[in-house]
Amino acid sequence: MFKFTVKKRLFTLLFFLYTAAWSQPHAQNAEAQKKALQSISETEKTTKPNIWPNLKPAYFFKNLRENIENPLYIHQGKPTYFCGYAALTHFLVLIDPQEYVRLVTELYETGETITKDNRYLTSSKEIREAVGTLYNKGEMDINHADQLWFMVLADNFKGYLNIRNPSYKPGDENNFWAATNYKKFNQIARSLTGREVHARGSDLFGPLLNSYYDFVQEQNMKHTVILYLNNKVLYPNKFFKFILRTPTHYVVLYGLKREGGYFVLDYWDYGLRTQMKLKKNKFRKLIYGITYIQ
Amino acid sequence: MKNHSYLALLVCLWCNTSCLVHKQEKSESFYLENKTQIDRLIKDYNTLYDKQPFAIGFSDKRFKYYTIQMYTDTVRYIYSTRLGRDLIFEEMIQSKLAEKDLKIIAQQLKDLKCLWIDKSYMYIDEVKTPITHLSFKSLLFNQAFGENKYYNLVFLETPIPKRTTSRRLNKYGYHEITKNVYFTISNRFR
Repeated sequence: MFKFTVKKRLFTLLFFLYTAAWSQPHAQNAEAQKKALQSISETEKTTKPNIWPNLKPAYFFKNLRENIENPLYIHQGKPTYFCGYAALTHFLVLIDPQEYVRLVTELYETGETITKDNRYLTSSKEIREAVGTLYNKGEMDINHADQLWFMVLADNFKGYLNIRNPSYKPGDENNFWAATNYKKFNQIARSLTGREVHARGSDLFGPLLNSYYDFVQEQNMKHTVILYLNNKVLYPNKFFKFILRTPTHYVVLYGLKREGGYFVLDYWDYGLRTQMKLKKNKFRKLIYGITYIQ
Repeated sequence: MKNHSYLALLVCLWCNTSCLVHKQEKSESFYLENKTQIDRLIKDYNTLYDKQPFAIGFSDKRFKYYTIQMYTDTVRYIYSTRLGRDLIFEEMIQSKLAEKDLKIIAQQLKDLKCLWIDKSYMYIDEVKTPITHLSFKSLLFNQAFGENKYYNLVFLETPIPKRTTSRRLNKYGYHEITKNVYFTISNRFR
């Protein structure tokens, strides 16, 4: 009887650890989602703003609704530097869709809003004119809510990568004007979510940890983990003479597991859930930052 | 001794320029010269794509390692390996993509020295237009200090009005080759 109980407990524990490690995306609160959608409908009925000359309200509201209904499909647009903002938006929509809708609709109505840490987000004249004009970026061409939101974030939060190009000019969404260094990313995460955000790592070196796998696993069981990655390892190609070992990409981690000699990484990026097998030695080269949000 | 150094330098310079001369600039003619092979590749790719959406290409200059991305409605599976090895992901093994068919496509890509084939879509005057695109090395590939440039062929799957095509697609940097076939030089191959 005793043996059976111990075995049963052991089995339960192992099963829990397995399922926790291979967790599913953060489930959306249905009630919060419903309220967010209601809020969108109310704004659509009542507001006729004229501060965004090129924004089409029909595209804006369609995009906003789709983001709430299917946060998985949020996409940064192909050649842009918006991946950090898109990863945070994906996370924000999952945990607090009403807050996301409040921020975006206030920007739409008045051109400014205030975040949970009392930071004012404003829209400059250049941004107001540019929203609705981005083209050749796939779905983002008609995703006017994403254009507005990502450009406002890029224009308001600045890091050292943006020093040389602080104000927006057409085409800057594809260069360092929109880039997000690690410190800036964590700052935006704190500001938008109002939650406790912990970060390990930097723009130059990965975190000093014995086992990235164990640490990521441990944090992923308790928190949402966002990884700061070297995209050249994630999507490898040997077409360059010199490859800079630098992180350039943010993904929201759903799960991580060992399979034979590989790690299987399950994450969100580019508007889809992605599963990828990586050799163990590549995993260490891949990660530069581990952000976990409580 | 000094003369020898100058001579060596001259030989190096000559080699360098001669290599550049032998590289061929890709434009409309590249597609027209390889039309039969390219059209066959697209036909075979489309047949397989209809069974299971995927993209395939090479991740090294010598065309030894390839990458497959298989798409379902919600998940993208990415797999990179050496040509000749087996598929690893269980989901790929269970999919309708047969390994022998993928290898035929990979061989066709290799013969054409094509880096990547994928399907996507673009919005032209707010109309969603599905496209198939192929990427190749361009003249400005493998430069020591410059950014790599790729020659991308774009096949529009639905025709668009001629007036719209020339106006909008020129803005996008696409040049018309034949009906619904365009090329562009880009810094992105995927």
